[in-house]
Amino acid sequence: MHIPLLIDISNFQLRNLLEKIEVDRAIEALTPSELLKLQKSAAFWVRVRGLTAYNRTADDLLSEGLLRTLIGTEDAQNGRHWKEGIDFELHLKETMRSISDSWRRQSEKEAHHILELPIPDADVQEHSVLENLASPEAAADRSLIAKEKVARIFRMFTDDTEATQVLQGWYDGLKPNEIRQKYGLDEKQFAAAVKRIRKKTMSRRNGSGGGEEHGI
Amino acid sequence: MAYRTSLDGQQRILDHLAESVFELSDEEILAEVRESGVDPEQEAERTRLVLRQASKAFDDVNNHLSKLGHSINFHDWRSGQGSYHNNCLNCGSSVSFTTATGEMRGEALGGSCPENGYATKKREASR
Repeated sequence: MHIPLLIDISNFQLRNLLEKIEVDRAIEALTPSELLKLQKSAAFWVRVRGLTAYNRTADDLLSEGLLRTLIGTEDAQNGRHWKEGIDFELHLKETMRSISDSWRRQSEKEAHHILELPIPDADVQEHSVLENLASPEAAADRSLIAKEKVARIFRMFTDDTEATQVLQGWYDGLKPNEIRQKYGLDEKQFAAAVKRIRKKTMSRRNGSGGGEEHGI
Repeated sequence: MAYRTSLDGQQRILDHLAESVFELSDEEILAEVRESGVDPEQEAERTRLVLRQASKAFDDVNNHLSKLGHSINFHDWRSGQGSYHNNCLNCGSSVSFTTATGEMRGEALGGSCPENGYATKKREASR
C-alpha cells in the first residue's frame, strides 16, 4: 500500500538539505590522491601563513573549509558556496587558501592588539588600537616580512638557475609559456624545475607541513 | 639573479607552489607521501575522517539546537582553539562544538530556548 509521507519542510530547507547531502556524498567520492593533495595543500598554507604559531593545524584548515562550505548551503549570503560544475576538491582547495589568508590577517591583528594595547592611564588620552592597525609602520612591517620570505625562497635555489628563473617568472606574474620563452626552457626543463621547487619547499619532515626546515 | 620584491609577487609564488600539488598525477602524489614515510592509504582515509567529522559535528549541533528551539546565525560560528562558538539569537545563551571529537558544550544545550516556546509547543501538541 502506498502511504503518502507528509514532511513539514519549506523549499528552502529542502534545498539546503539536498545540498548538505551532496557535500557528504562529495566527501565520500574523493579519491585517495585527491585527499592527499588537499591534506598537503592545507599543511602548506598553514605553514607559509605562519599559522602554526597560533596553534592552527592542517586539520583545522580542512575542517574550517568544510564548515564554511556547509554554512554556504544554509545561508545564501554567507559561507563559501560550492558552485555547480566545480570539482569539490578544487572548491575546497580555493576555500582553504582564502581562509588561511583571512586567519593570517586576523592573527596579525590580534598580535598587533596585544603589542599595541595602551597602558591605562587616567591622565593620558588613550588612542584607539584600530589606529595602530592601519598605521604605515604596520604596513612597512608586513612588507619587510614578505621581502624576507621571498628572499629565503630564492636563496634555497642559488645553485639552480632554472628553478630561479621559474621563481622569477612566477614572481613577475608570467604564464608558464611566457617563462619558457623568456628563459629558453623547454617543457621538460620547466616541469622538472617546478618539481624541484615543490619538493624542496614543500617537503615533509617529521610530520610537519613542509618548508619548515627551509624557514619559509 | 637579482629580484624585486612585493607582497603580490610573494603571493604569486605561494599560489603557484600550492597549485603545483594539484598538477601531480595520482602516482606522483602517492609516491611523494610514501617517500616521506607515511602510508598514503592511511593518510588519505585519516583526511576523509577529518572532513566527515566536521560535517557530522556541524549537523549534530544544529539539529540539537533546532530541537531545543534555539536560533543561531550560521555566519556567526567563530573558530578558536579547535572549537566553534556561537550564541542563540533569541536568548543569547552560548554553544560550542569541536570538529575533531564532536563534543558539544554550552548553556544553550541545557534546555529549550526561554525566548521561544516552539520546542515546548511541539511536545504538547504530540500528546
